[in-house]
Amino acid sequence: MTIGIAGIGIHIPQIQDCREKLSRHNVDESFLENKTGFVGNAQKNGLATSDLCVLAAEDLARKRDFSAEEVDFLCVCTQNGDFHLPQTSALVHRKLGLPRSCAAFDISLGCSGYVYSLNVARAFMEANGLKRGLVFTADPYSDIIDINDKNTDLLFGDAATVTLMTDDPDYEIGKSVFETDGASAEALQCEHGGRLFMDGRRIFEFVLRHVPQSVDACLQRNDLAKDDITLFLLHQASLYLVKNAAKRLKVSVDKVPFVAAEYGNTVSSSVPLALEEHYDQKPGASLLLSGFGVGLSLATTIITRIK
Amino acid sequence: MSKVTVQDVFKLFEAADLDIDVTELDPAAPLLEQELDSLDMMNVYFQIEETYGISVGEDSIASGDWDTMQKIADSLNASLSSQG
Repeated sequence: MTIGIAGIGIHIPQIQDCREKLSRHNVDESFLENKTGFVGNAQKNGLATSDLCVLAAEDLARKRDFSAEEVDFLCVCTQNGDFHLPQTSALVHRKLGLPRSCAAFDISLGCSGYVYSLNVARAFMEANGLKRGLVFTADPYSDIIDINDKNTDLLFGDAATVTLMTDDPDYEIGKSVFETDGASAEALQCEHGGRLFMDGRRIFEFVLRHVPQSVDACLQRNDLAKDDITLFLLHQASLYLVKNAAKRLKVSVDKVPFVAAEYGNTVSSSVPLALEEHYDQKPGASLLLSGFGVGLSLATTIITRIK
Repeated sequence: MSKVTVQDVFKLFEAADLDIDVTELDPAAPLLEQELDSLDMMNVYFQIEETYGISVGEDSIASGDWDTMQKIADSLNASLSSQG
């Protein structure tokens, strides 16, 4: 039995226009257009992380035929859950009315979280004979942003996604590569009760130095070349970062789409949001997914459309 | 290693692929007062490290040692000579 991706539901909450924030940061619109690339930041406006997950599940239910009674696996990738405890996955389990026999746990990762979560879900489900899983990403940063910090206030948006994992998938998941730089963990950090801190330069260097290597290693592990990849779906950290990563990957910018202009950097949701936008591919198409950030952590995989 | 010239610094900026016309930059003027911003400067520092193996420290950035093309050439020469 091979578990893979069978559909994606998303929820992007209300958008705040970034231009309304420009005056407090002493930058003009060209900074948004050419650097961050974000003209809006999605804001959850009082919704809990579990609420965002439920709204993503409702979107999935409109697109794919699945019933709550059949779900036997659930995980939520978040570092901004509803509470310190219980785990947000338990709250999503309750709100969706899932059966008692359903496994449910949280995964604490940031921007690399989607690739990790796919791997954990597939391995867990295959090991235990589970057949219908829901992999959520929902990491809203709006409650931890310092609105006077230009580095973060103009970047992040709130969103949630849910990926349906089944034994009759549209996409199979290839081999993945992972990298961790715990020595640089403080480069992107939020202490208990504090505000988000980001050392943009260290993140920039981490991405430009290590993402191209990770992509090459992942291609090699899957016996593929760059020309075999239809799209490179990178974490949508910022337009500037995605463009510069594409340059260093030495692939056409057309194959490295930037899709998050309207809603911002949505942390672990950015890769599945990009995948949802480019979901319809011909059988045989391979998409490379790479997430990088908090940790510092980096994870890359390749998925291939099989039907 | 031969001395780093301002022309070498122009080549560094071209290699950094900054989406600006590098030839129009004034080597004596502060870069942040021209077409570059702090993100572009990160790209330049990254290029310096890749090309010369020299890490540009936060303290020396704050003290203004790298804020013009001429100063970048001077700082590179100082760093390279101190490495022997």
